[in-house]
Amino acid sequence: MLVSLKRLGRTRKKSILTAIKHMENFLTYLENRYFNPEIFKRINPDYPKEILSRQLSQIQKGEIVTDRIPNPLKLLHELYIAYNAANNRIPLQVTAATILTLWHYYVSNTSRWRT
Amino acid sequence: MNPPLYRIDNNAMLVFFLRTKVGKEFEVADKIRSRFASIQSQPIYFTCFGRYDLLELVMVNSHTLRHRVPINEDIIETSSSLFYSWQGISKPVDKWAVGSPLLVAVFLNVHPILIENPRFEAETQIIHLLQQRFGEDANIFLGMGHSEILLLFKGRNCDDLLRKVTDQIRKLKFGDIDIPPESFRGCPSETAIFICTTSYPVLAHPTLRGDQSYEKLEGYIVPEILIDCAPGLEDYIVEKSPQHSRVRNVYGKYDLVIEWVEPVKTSTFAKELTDFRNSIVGKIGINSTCTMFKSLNTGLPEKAPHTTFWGMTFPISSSYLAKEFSELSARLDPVERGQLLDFLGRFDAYYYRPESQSFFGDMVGLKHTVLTVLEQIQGANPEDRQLWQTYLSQVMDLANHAVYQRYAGIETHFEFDQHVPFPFLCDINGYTSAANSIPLFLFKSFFPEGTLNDSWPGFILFGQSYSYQWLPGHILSFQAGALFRPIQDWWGITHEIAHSIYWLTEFLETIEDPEISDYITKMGNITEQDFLIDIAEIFANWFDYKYFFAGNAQLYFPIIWRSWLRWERVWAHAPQYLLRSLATFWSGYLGESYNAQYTSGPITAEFMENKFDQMNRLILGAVPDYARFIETIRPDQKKKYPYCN
Repeated sequence: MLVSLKRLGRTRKKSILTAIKHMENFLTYLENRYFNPEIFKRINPDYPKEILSRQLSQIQKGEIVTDRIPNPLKLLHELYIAYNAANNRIPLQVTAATILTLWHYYVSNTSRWRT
Repeated sequence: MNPPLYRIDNNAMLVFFLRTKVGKEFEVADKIRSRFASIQSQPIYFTCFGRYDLLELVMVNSHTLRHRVPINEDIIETSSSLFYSWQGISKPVDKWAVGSPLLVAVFLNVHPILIENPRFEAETQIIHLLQQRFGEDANIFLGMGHSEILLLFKGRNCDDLLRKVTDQIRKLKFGDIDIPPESFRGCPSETAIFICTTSYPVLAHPTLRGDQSYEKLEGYIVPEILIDCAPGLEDYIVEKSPQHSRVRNVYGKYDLVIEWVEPVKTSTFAKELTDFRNSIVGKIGINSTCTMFKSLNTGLPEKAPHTTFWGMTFPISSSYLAKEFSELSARLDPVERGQLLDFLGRFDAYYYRPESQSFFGDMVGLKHTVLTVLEQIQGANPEDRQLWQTYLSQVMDLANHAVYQRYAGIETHFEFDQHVPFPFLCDINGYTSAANSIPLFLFKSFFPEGTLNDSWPGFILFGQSYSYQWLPGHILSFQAGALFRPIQDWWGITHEIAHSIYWLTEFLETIEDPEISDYITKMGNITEQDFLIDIAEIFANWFDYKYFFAGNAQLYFPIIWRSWLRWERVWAHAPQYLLRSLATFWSGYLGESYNAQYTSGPITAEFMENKFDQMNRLILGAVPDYARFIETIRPDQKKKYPYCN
């Protein structure tokens, strides 16, 4: 069943359209002036497919990924997709390997020790 | 050197230490085992020597079983932890421990230098070494809190097992493991691998296990039983105390100690201890007993050289802080000032301890927040000062919770004797560090200059909210339920990070175009029926979608709606959430709408309807509740939300 804006009723439809129109300048500002491709690139660095797929496969086997992870958030998103996480139970070893991989990422990137 | 490839297995060992009313441990074991009746592996029980009375071990294959905390009127205290299994190394404890009358559980805290860069490479080498040294008598698991390794020894002779800890485990050196010396970061190869070991001997008591008997225990021990009792009960305890023992007063938490001058057979002691506890069951005023073992040989085997080479680069020195805080906090109420300085002193104490440093490092930015707020208070008028003080008090309250969580998982092992709102403290630290990886990556990417703490003064916290929240002090709260659900849930923190960036960058103040700035200010006051326009929320959704989800509409919209529709407030404020979603979706087509507006006139209702339909198509297939949600905002059904009558 497709829920259409038409089904909201005339008053509601008018309200939401008016509210969106009120935001138009703001959203245009965000898109045209605030969005910064350099920041986007830093947040979404190159994550070569073969590396991503190898790291996903490692985690799925219960292995802790200790080599460089270009983007841990992307890795989480891909795991979400791979497991259709909203509808499926995720094996304990995959959850554990994910947590331990992220722990390793955190520790490796926040080294403070001096000797 | 190639470290062995170790994998996590699809099961884990759940460990519950229980302190019970004196003598009630056997009844408790009988009653609580039924909560695992539905799973294949059944729990095994041991009586404990030490602070706790009963140990329950059970192999589980799901994180949800972690929540099955035992409830019983005779349980005084519960401490629990989950230890993951290494494939091919960890053995299911119920099968491995069959026939052994005695176990020693050794919680091992690896030197932080080994935990850092080569992390699991070093840890796998340590495990390899422990396997080689102790063979089948050792069972090794992976810990998430203070103890990275849990080592179980099985055997018959308690003193022999404990001597393995003192003579072998505690003497392992960096040089004993096969990793390159450059990984030692200047530490000598004689440096001890473990900075802390905590050992609990536990007994497969004949009352708990029909196949066991006291006679299976071998060797001698030198025990002592500490007793916490009310005044006036001393004579009673002396009368009930075991043969060949003597009772003395002690001062501190405990009041009496029952001690043996000569070594006593382990089998004799185990029986006498049970008889003694049974003889005082139900006696009001005897609160707890704690049994300790001393080594049979006197003194330490040798005088070991002591090495100190701790230290961590610290962004703000303590002496600077002490001076700054004492000056800046002068305008605070004396009680608040005392609380603040007490907290900061305590935080430094944890931070500068080698075994706790790595788990408190993420909270260093808090000091920036405190300094900034104190500076604001310094120059504020009375009204603003009150606001800033309230803010400071909220931040300190959250920081206390965060310290409490980190401390509980580090300092105390299983000896934490205060009840706190978050139940899974003993092994929370690994999860906290893992969850920190997301804000670490995103903040460092957004603010590439300086350290993480320079750009983000906050930290993360589990269990202080029922959904992801951005809290005062840029503290990011994960709901308790997310702890074991990184794949299903942790993406949700990025919306809160977007909120943090909105305020950290002072978004509204940095808009140079006065027309836009004025427009945005006015926009905040516009309400179209229920369609309240909340700039900060619109920004966070847009930012999250565009940057953190990289504009992936197929992932973002179903995931966000699936999450939103779990919350009553979303159903109660349906138009608001619909608007946020549509605005975010629509922003991706702004070029299109922009052209539509300026080349073909104002945006048409048809254009909007088309976008709405496109968004709905993405969501409807993946989120079954969405259609029902839309129904709730039809005008004739206003106020009839499914969960809000």
